[in-house]
Amino acid sequence: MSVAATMVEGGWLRRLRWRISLRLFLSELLAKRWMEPAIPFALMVGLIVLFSITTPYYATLGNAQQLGREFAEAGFVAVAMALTVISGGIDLSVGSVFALANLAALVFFNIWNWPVGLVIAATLCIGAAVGAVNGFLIGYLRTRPFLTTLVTLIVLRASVDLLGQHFSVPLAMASRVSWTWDVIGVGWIAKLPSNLAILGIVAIVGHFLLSRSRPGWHLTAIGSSRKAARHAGIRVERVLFLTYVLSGMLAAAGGLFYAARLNSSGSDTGVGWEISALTAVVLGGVSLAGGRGTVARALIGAVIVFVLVNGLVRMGFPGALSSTALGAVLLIAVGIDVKWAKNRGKAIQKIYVNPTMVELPPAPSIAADSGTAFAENTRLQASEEIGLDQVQGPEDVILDRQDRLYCGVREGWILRFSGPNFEHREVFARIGGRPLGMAFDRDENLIVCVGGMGLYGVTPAGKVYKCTDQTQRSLFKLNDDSRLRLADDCDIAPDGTVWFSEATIRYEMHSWFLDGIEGRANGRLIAWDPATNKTRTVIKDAVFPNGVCVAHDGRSVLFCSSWLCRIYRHWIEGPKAGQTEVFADNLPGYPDNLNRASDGGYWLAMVGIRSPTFDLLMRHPGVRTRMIKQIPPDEWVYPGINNGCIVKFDESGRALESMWDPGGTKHATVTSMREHKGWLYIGGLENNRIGRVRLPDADPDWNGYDAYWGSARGRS
Amino acid sequence: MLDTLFSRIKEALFPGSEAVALPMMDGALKPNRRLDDAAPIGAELPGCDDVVALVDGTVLVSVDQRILRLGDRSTWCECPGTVGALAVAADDSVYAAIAGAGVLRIVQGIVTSRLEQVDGRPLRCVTALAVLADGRIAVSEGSSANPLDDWARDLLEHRASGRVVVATADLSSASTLASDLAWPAGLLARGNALWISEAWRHRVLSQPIAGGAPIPVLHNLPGYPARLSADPDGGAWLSLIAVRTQMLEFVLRERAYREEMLATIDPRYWIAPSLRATGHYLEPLQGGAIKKLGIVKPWAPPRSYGLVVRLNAAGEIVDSLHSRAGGVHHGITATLRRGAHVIAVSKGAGRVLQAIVEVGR
Repeated sequence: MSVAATMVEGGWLRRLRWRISLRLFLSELLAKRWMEPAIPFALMVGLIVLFSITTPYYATLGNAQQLGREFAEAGFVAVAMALTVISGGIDLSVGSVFALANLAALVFFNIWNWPVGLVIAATLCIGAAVGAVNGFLIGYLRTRPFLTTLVTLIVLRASVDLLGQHFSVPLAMASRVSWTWDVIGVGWIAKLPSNLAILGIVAIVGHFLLSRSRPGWHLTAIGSSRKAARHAGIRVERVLFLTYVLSGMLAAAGGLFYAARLNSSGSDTGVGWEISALTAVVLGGVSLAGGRGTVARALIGAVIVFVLVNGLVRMGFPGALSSTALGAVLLIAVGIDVKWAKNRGKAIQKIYVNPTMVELPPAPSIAADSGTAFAENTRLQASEEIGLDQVQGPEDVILDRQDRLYCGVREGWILRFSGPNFEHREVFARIGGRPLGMAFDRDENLIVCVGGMGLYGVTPAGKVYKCTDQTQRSLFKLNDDSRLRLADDCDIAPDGTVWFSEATIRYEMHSWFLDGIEGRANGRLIAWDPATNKTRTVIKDAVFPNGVCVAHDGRSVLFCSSWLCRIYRHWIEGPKAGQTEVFADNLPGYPDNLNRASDGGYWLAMVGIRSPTFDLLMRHPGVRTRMIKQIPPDEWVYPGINNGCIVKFDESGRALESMWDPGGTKHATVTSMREHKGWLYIGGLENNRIGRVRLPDADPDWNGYDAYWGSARGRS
Repeated sequence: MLDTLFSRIKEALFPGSEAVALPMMDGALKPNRRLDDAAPIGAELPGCDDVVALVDGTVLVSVDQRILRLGDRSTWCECPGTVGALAVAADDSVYAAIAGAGVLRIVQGIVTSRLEQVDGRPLRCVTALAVLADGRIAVSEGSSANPLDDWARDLLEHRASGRVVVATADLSSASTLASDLAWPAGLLARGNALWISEAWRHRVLSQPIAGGAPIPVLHNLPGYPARLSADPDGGAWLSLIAVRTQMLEFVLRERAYREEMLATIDPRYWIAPSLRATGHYLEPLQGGAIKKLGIVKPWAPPRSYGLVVRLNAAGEIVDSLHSRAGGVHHGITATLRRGAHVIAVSKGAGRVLQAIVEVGR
C-alpha cells in the first residue's frame, strides 16, 4: 500500500526528477561497512583485468589455478600479519616463521620420517611457540610489537640460516614419497588447489571470528584503544597473547604448504615476506593504527601485491623494477585510502539528505476573522500550568484512571504528577531514549514509543519492559530497516494490537527536522501484537507518520502525515480492511499527535503552522539541499512552530474548532493533548510546562481509559 | 582592493563560500543589552523616523506627516507627506525628506522651497540628508526603482540604483555626486568628503565632495548601515537597520527561489530583514529561534535587530549598542548625541530611546 504516490502534484517529469534519487542510493551504499574497501577492491579487479588483457593465456583456468596455488602461501602470511595489525600491533616475524616452518616441515618429513599428521601438528606448534614468545612479551610484558617482532625476526632468520646449512645435505638427498604430503602440496580440493581451498576456509572462519564473535570484537576493541578496552573489562593481555599465537600458527601454515609444494629449503625462503605482507594488509585497507580491518581486506591486498609482482615479472620487468612498482602502488594506494577512510563519512554526510518536492495546495485561512474552524483565537492562553519548570519537553501527556498525569521527558524518564493540583511530581519510570507517544493497555500498562529504542511498556508498578524494537527487514533496501529508529506515537486497538508509527527510518530523534527537509516517505505504520509478540510493518512508505489514534469504533486507525499536512484512516476491520484513505487533507499546519475527544471526535495537536516561505521551500528541493549544505542548522528555515494550536475534528474528518496560543507565549510547539474529565491537557516537545484548559461543553466524566476499555472493568 | 579581488575570484570558483565570511559580532561589536536597557523618552511614537537638534537645542523628531518637538510632543511643522530624513543647517533652517515627493526646506516651521527632481529624474526615495560645510545640502536617494517602504524588496532584487545629489541651500538647483549606489541610507559631511553608508553593500564610503572615486571607510559590516550622525569628539554614530544573517545571504544567492518569493508571498512574510520583531507564526522561523523551554535565545538568528555603532574620527568602530533577538528596541533608524546620552530612534518599536554613552571609548 502506497500513500506516498499522492504526495506531489504538478508536472510528472519534475516530480519524477525529485522522486528518484541516485544520490540517495549512493549515500546508503557508501554507508555500508562492506563498502570501506571499495578502492582496494576496484584496484584488485582492475589489475586482474589489465593483466588478462596484456598477458597471453593469463585468463585461463590453468593459469588461474597455478597462480592460486602460489598465492595461497602468501595469503596465509598476510592474514597472520592482518590479525596483529588489527590488534594495534605488528608481527614482523611472519616471514622468518614462514621460513622456519618450511625448514622444520621438511626436516620432520624427509629426515626424521614422521607421519604427515605429526609433521603438520609439529610445524604448527613451532609457529605457535614463536607466536607465544611474541605474545608473552607484547601482551604480558608490554614490549613494543615492532621491536619485539623485529628481534624475533632477526633471531629466527639466523637460526634458519644455521639450521639450513646443517640440514642442507641430508635434505638434498632425501626422497620420501607420501600421498598425503602430495595432496597438501600439489593436490586438489573441489577443483581448487588444496592450499587455496584451505586458505579460503581459514579466511571464512577468520572473518566470522573477527566480525561476529566475542574474541574478534575484543581484538578489534584493543586495536582501537587498548586503554578503553581495558576499562571495558576486556582481558587485554590474554587476547593479545592469543593473537600472536594465532599469527604464528598462520604463518607456519603458509610455510608448511610451501614445504609440501616445493620441497626446497633455499636460504632466501620467506625473505622480505613481512614487507609484502604488510604492504598487502595496508593496501587492503587495514589501518596501521589498529582497530580497523577484516580478513577479506587483508586478502584483497594480498591479491593485489601478488598479481602485481607476478604480472610484472611475466611482462619481463626485472625484479628490482617490479619492487619499485610495488612501492609506488603502495604509496598511491595508501594515500588514496587514507583520504577515503578519512572523508567517507563526510562524503556520506554531504549526500545523505535528499530533498524531494512536496507541493501543498494553498492553505485554508487561519485569520482571526476568517470564520473557518481554524480561525486564530487565544483560547489556549487561558491554560493553567502544571509542573512549570519541572518538566523538559513533555512530548505526550496521558492520564490514568486515578487522575494521575504522565508525561515523557527529554531525560528519558516518564514523570508522574498527582495530587489535587498535580503538585506532586515523581519519576515514574526511567526508560532512556526519548519517550514520545503513550497509551494505556487493558491491564493499565503504559505503552510508550521511545525514540531511539522502540516500543516499551511500563507496568502500573513502574517496571519497564520491552514490547518490540524491530520489525521485518524490507527487501531491496540497502539500509537495514529492521530496527525501530524513531517510534513516535501509539494507540491500542480493541484486540490489544498496538498500532504505532515510526516517523522515519533515516534519521534520529535529534535530527528529525532533516526528515522534514527531505520530505520523503521514510516512515512506517507498524502493528505489534502482544499475544503473539509479532511485529509487522503495515504501511512502509508514509511521509513522517506522527500521531496515531484508533477510531472510536475500533475499526480503523487514524494516523497523521506531518510533512504532507494530512491525516489518513487505515481500516483494520470490516469490508475495507487493509485500505488506506485520506481522513483530512490540506491542513493549515503540521499535524502531530491525535487523540479521542469525549464527543466522538478527535483532538489534533498542530505542532506548527505552514509559513509561506517554508511552503515555497518545500516546492524547491534544490534550494533545501543547498541550504543545509551552506548554512548551519540554527539558520535553517522552519515552519512556524513557535505557536500553539489544537484542532478538533469530527468522525468524518471535518474540522470543528481550534484553540490557539498565537506566538506560543505559553504553549509553543504543541505536540500532544489529552482530554480527561472535562479538561484538555497539553504537552509540547520543547516546553517547560504542561497546561490544561477547561472544556466547558465536554462530558465531565469522560476519560481515556474508560473510552478504550470500558468503565465496568477494574472498578468492581 | 586585493581583498576584493581575491574574494571575487573565490566566489567565482567556489560559489557560496562567501557565506562563511559573514563578520562575527566581536570586539567592539560584542553584543550587549544597552539598547534594551535604554530608557524610552516619553510615550510610544509609532512611525518615528529621524531625529535632529536645532541650534537652540530643541530636538525634533519626524513622525508620519509631522515634525514634532521631542520634549513636549508639540507639532513643529505639518508636512504634505510622510516625513523621513531631517537635517538642520547652520542658519536653523530644516530640510525634510517627504516620502515620494523630494525634499522641503522649512524655515521657522514654514515650508519655503522644495526639490522634486534632479537631472531630470524625480527624487522619490530620499533616505538621508546632510548639510555640507559650504551650506549646500547633500541628499541620498535609496533607489530609483522602489519606494521607501519597499526597501526590503530593493535588497532582495539586488538593486544598485541609488544616488547622492548635492543641492544649493535654497534648493534651487542640484547635481548628482554619486550614482549606482546600493541603497545609500546615511550621509555625514566630513570636511571635504561626504561619508555615505551604502546599505546593501554593507559599507560606508568616503566620497570627495569635489568628485572622484570614493574610498571605503568601513566594509563588510555585519548589518545594513543607515543614517550617520556626528559626535562632538570628531567621531560619528551609525545606526544599522538590521543585521545580516546567513539565511538571508543564502536567499540573496538563490535567484529562482527569491523571485518566486517576491512574486507570490506577502512582503510581511518574506525571508528578509525587518525593522520590527513580531514573532508571527507566518514569518520564516529560523532553527535557532525556536522557543525552547519557553524562551527564545538572545543569540538566535535575528529577523530584526537593534544596533548602533560608534565610530572614531578615522571611521573605526569603537563601541556598539545592541538589542538582540528577544529584545524589542529594534530597527534603529537615527541617532543623535546629546551630552552624556545618545538618542536613538527605534522605528521598529516606535520609540525614541535615550542610551548612556560610555566614556573612555
